[in-house]
Amino acid sequence: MEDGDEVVEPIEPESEDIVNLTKRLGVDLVLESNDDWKIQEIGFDGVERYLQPETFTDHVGKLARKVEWTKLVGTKSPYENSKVDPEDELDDENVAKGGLNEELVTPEAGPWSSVAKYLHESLNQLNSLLDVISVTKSTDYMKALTVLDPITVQEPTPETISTNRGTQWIWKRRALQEAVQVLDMAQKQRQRASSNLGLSADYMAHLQRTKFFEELREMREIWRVRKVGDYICGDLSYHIFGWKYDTPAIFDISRRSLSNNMENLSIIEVSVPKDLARRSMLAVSIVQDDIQSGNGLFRDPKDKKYTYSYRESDSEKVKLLHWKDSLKWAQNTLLLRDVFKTICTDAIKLRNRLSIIRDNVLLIHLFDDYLLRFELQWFPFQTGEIKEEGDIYLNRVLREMIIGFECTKFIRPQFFCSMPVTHLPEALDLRGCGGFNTAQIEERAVRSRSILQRMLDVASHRALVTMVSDVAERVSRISLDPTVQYRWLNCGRTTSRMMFNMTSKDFEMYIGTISSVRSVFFANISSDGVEVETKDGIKMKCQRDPARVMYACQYAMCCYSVTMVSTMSRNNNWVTPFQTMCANVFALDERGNPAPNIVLCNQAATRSILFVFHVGMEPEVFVRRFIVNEETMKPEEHEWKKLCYSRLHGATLCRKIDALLVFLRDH
Amino acid sequence: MGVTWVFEAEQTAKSVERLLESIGGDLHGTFIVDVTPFNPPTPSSDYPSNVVMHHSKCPQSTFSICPKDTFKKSPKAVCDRGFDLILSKLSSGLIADNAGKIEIIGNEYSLYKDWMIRVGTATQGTTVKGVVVEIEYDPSIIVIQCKDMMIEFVKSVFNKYHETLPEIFKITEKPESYTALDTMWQYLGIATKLRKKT
Repeated sequence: MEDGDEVVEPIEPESEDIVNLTKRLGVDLVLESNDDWKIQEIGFDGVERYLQPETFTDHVGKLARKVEWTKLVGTKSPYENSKVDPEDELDDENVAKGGLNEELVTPEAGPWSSVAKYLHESLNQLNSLLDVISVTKSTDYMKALTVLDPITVQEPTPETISTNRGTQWIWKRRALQEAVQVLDMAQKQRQRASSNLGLSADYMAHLQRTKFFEELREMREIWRVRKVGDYICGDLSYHIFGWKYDTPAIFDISRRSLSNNMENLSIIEVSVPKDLARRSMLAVSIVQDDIQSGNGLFRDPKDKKYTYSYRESDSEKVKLLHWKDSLKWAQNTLLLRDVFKTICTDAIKLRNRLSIIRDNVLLIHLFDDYLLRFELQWFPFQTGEIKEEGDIYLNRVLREMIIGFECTKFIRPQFFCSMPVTHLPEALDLRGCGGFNTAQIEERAVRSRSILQRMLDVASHRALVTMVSDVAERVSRISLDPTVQYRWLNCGRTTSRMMFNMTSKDFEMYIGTISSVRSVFFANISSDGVEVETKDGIKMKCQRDPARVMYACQYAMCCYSVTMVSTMSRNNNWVTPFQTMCANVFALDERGNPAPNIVLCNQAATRSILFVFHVGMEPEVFVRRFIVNEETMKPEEHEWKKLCYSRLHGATLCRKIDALLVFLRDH
Repeated sequence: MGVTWVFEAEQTAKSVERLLESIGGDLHGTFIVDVTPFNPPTPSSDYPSNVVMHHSKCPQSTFSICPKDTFKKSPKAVCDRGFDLILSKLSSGLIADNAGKIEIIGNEYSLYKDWMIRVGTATQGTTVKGVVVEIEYDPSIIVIQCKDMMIEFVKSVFNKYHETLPEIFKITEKPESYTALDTMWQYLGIATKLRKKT
């Protein structure tokens, strides 16, 4: 109920009475001028007492009184409706809400039903309008235009024209037409050429051009070529990382005008820088500095053999060379020149080693009397074979080191998250966070060694290896029993290992697994010196002296001989073997030199045999009567009698031992 | 880098140096340790203060410890020297307290190659606060291995300070590695004590 100018009270069809009333056509209208409260009474003093209008609850109460409740609910039903069986409700007539009734009564729509219908419709229309607006606002399906907006046709912008598919097709067609024209022209020319057999000037020029470009392409497979304006130039420098196309190392490329008598020359003419117009070679060798080689170490200043340099008079000859050769030689010259310069600079920095540089020859002290010699040789810039001088192995190693140096990145590349360019090795990256102290930082800061230092190591090792193979050859040649065989176990650039194997022919069956300790020994070679090592781990340092190496090998042979004697005396097929009384591998002779010895005794205990093996000399054999009782012995009866070794029966040591043991078995 | 024991000495640095030279120590060089507290601009209990330290033994490192009640609860970190530069950018949260900075400068002696003893004078600003001795046993980084030997060493050389052990010696029972941060924790404790001293 709303207060307004017109107070309308529609009738609510709640009770039965009201439904049965006749349908009225009009509506009760009560017009009041304002919504003053009704005056109940006016007091004598002029105070008006108002009749308070009904509140909602009052109004509901008034209506509720009009309803005949007993008719609705029924007298029999209990107060609480919830326990009532829903079936019972059907007995009541016209229950207010939700009741099934046989008599279907069309509900009266009421006087405002059409208004409601129109309002509902307009509400629906508004809802759909709202939907449309929201759709247009959030999507691109429709664009809202005001009534006054002119409808413009969008002109195609240059962008849209270019991305338009139609235009692209047009361009493709135009390009294809151009290609067709070119091919047509080519076809015509080819026909003309085939009919003329290619003698027109045009065709010759065309041939030359194609030939030029083909050869240029060949050249570009190996060399860096660049076009600057109208000139084509190439680069002779060999660095992978660093500046390229540096002025001193570029060569010009031009087209040679072919005339008829130069058929075998290439159409590309290159002009190599004049100072690189020679062939070079860097020879490395190990030389000995003694009186005889005095003048041979350096070059004779009057000798012109390796000192070629470019002269203007040679320019014609140079022009006749094929670019493949001349560029290769020129780059090699550049490379070797730079390497020699670097090596000389490094040599000057090495303060502890003496070095002399003169006339493109560098001599640096290796060890003892030996020097390492680097010589840069120049040869004329023409075809022909150049004899390789110096030690071929060292030449190759030097070449490999140069290339390895060029390929090594000393600066770490930048990574995905940009990191600073740094020289420090990766192992030092966490030196701050790891709390490394100074000693640890130094340890991890591995610095690269120069080529010269590495060459020195390799060359000294090579000299020592040559020396040891020499000694091994001598040892194996002179020793008859035991026979010594040697082989390389490990050959490296700065360390190698050689194994010596000793055997006695015809007596191998006596060598069991026990004796393998004595029958094998090794020589370890580093770049500083040689060390002879026995299988049970005893090392004999031989520095760089070949005599000492020989001595060590011979000592090992003596130890082996002792073992042979003891093995043979035990494993004899004779019924009565000999007894080893004592054996000493570390014994010394009167002069203090090592002389392993062994004393045997026969089974009958009548004789003692003493073998003394001196290093590098014939063994000595002594015999005496066996001392039965130390206290009662008479020294003159038990003197050692030396036997003449060379007159013993048998060719080798083992055979002599065999024969001797047989003889002394029972005597 | 070995197990280290840092303590405050009650004698002058010179007397300690003379003592070391008498038992055969060789002067190795100089060292410097500095301890700088960093505080928030307005003192508050929510934001704790941080202490940044450097030690010349680890020249590329910076140590940062936020001291709380116990050793295990204090956040500690080792970083490279760039940390100092970063800290200057964080001046809205942490400001260096240069008045409270303590520097320990002195000499280091090496004894028979295994022991490194550093003796330094601790100064705060211009006032000298005390003398600090650091004993490092290089070969071992396991505390329980060399704890007893170090106590014996201190007893035999100084005869005075061997009773108060550093915290790390007391709390470590298992064979754990000793790190540079443990040394700096000891320095932190000593620096705090020195700051309170007048």
